[in-house]
Amino acid sequence: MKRVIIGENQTINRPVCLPTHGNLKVRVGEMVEFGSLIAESSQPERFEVIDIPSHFNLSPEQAEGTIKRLLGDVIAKGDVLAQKDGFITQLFRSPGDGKVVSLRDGRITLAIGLEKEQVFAPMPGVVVELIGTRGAMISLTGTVVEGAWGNGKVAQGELVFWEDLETNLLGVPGEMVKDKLIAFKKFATAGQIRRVLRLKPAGLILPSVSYKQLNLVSELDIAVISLLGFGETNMDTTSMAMLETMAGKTVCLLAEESTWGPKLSPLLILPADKPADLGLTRQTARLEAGAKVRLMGKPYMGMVGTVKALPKQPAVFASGLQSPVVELLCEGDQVINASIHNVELIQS
Amino acid sequence: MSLFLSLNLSSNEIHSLLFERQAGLYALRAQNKTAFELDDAERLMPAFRAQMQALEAETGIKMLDDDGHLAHEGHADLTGMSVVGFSFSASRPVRVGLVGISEAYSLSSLRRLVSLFDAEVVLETRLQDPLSQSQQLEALRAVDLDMLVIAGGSEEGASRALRNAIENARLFYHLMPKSIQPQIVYAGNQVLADYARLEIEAGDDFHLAPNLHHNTGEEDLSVAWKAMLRAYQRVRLQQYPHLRLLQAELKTALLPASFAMGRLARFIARLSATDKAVLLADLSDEKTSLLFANKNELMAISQANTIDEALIQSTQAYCSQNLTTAEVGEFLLNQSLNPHQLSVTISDFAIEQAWARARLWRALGAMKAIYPHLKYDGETGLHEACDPIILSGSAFSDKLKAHQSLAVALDGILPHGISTIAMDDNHLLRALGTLADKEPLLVVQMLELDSFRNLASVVSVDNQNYEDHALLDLELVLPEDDTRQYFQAGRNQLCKIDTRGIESMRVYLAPGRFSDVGMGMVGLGGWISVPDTELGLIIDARGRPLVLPENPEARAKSWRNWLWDLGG
Repeated sequence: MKRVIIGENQTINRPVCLPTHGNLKVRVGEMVEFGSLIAESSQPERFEVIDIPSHFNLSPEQAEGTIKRLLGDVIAKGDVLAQKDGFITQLFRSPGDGKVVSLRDGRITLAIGLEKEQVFAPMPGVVVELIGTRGAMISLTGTVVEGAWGNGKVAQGELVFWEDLETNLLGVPGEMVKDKLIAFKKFATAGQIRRVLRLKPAGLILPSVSYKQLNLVSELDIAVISLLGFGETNMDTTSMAMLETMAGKTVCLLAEESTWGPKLSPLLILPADKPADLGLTRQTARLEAGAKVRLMGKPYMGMVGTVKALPKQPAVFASGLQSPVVELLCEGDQVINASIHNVELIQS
Repeated sequence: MSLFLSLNLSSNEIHSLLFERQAGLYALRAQNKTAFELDDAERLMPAFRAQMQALEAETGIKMLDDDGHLAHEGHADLTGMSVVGFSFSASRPVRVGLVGISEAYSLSSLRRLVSLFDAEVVLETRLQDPLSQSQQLEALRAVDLDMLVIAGGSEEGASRALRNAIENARLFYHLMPKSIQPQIVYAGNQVLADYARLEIEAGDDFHLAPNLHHNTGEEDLSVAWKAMLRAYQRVRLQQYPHLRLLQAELKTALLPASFAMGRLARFIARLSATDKAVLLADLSDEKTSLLFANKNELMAISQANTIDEALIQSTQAYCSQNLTTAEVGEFLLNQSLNPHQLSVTISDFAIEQAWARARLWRALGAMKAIYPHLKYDGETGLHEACDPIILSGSAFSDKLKAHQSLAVALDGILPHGISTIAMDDNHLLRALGTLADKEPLLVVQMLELDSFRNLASVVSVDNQNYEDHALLDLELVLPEDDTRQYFQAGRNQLCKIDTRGIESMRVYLAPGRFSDVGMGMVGLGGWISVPDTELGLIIDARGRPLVLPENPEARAKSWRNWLWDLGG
């Protein structure tokens, strides 16, 4: 049974890891802010293999005698690597700052330059676990809305509804959008998205993304999250209610890709003002009468309902497929029999 | 009594099959599927034990000892498992780099070699290319590799380029940061084998295989399977460290599921009395795998179910509802987010079936790319005679009815000649493949037991003379009273002749002068024996390629009509 977190006082543990091993910059128990450095690794900018025998026109054995460096030597640009004495002395100099990493058969391999890879905290929180030398697990409690799809980026900013800004007849001033997270209550058209993008927001929160918009939003430099997935659907009432409590506050949008371990769900999180409880009294949502669910797939995508009953008899749908069902009481007192495979349990 | 257990782990499920042998006879005793998220390390062993307990409850056979460990043969109190098989079918690919001397003699062989091992080739280095050693090293640095496979060179041939590649492999292994410790497989010039081992200094991460090419130049990929399996296993155990516990419990090494199925494909092909090949098509929630085997060769392809523009368009073209690209794309993208979502509307279900066709079509195209001698063409279909074609995977067994599965297979594969299409509902082939090397009799007996669900016998009629309208005449002889019935198949028809309940019916195929029914020659007919199948005898006289209207509405109607011809 798929679950989706939409609720207050939810604790989120997020791994922040380098794709490779590196050096940790945090300790367990340390508080971090959005953008704090968690881990970094250094690697050479490039490798260069210098074939001394062919440069000096010597056999590999003869060339080895001309090499003036040892394995592990740190060298600066222009340092002499090899020297062939004779009537005219020939020198071979280092093409850059670096280190000798291999000497074989007269060939010198240099690791040149230094390049850093760093990972930063996508949200404020406390470091609860170190993950080898790759990174750390950060924990945060707050109001959370889980999304279905994200474009791989993270952002932090004040959450503002686009529909509230659009009421301004004279147009939307840039400062009301710049560096903020802009949320759409209804399906956003490509024109609306482009209009918002011109005003440089920090991120976009979309109810759904249409197939035609996918390339546009995937390639954006700012963070984008789709709460319901793909299609032209308006925001569901539960997410909307939660987002309304976040409006005007600084929220983190986590749509980053997992570099290590399980796939990460995209999230919106508003850190709680008060300290988190230990979650001892919190119940895990179960599929039973009274449970709140959200529907997936056609024809009810995004509709929210409450489980009335769990009929024992499976139902046959228009497609001819048979499945166990849940009887739901949805908005407007509408009763829907939905396939058990097409509902997400809302964990609130 | 002896017990045999086969367990498969996918990204979201553990599937176990328990076989037993009593008085020399083997039988499938029970099976169980348990939902489980592979990334959830802490749940693996509890999920495994829960599954064993479910099997215990079903069979009444105690499989776990008092400490909760799986009992193996020789256990003091319990019967224990005589043989255990363990396969892995999660979609996360093994990222492989290939290094070969030339395209023709090493890289093409390497692509074929790794195709059995869930590999995604992310780097190819041709040592004949005018790349400097620095450029080759940079290329290695730019990708995150799980495995590097080096091949090429003849035993007495030049070795300088290969020596440089070996040195690069050493630098790559020791100096470059990677997400896991990469595995190096060396299957090149054997004169350099010791040099490679000493030079690379990768310890247990170095796997030596014989040269893929004999001195005669003949390719033999099977010589490197052992080394590839060791490397594959070490990659997977690094990617999912919690698998070590399960492997220790099962006391057997894990195999890629496609490799296990490949064993069975070869086995069936060798057992076959005819020269026909065997095609296994497995369409799971996560990936599409095809295995094609004939008496001489095994071909394989495994592709993750990625959604791209080309796949969306081919799905739209195969769809029996007239839908826009956006509708098809949005459905497929949502399906990739929630693979277990049920298609409740007619249009969604039509897309799902079309997607299965498109996946088969794409996988066959990819197979052709790495096995250029495979007689396949995207438009005219698979020209290799295949019998049987065995379907498996959730896309078939969980959702589609028999006629829908058959339609997907016929349209996606476009077989030629005479084939039997069967369904492996329980993933028996995969399970038997994991046990085949240790208990070959189990495989033989289970295959003789007719463990698959026969969907239909299919005769595909190809006729390039478009003035011909009656392509094939059939004479059916009913076994009970020897009465005869006559049928005629016309151009562009898909005919279904109900043979249910008839154990073995003899049918005479009398093709027209220009019709090919797979009897070895255009216009040649003959007697065939049709077994009892769920849908009967299907005459596919639609021709190759299928003639489809340009108009999207009319094209969708054609797919619908053909589906109706098979059963509604």
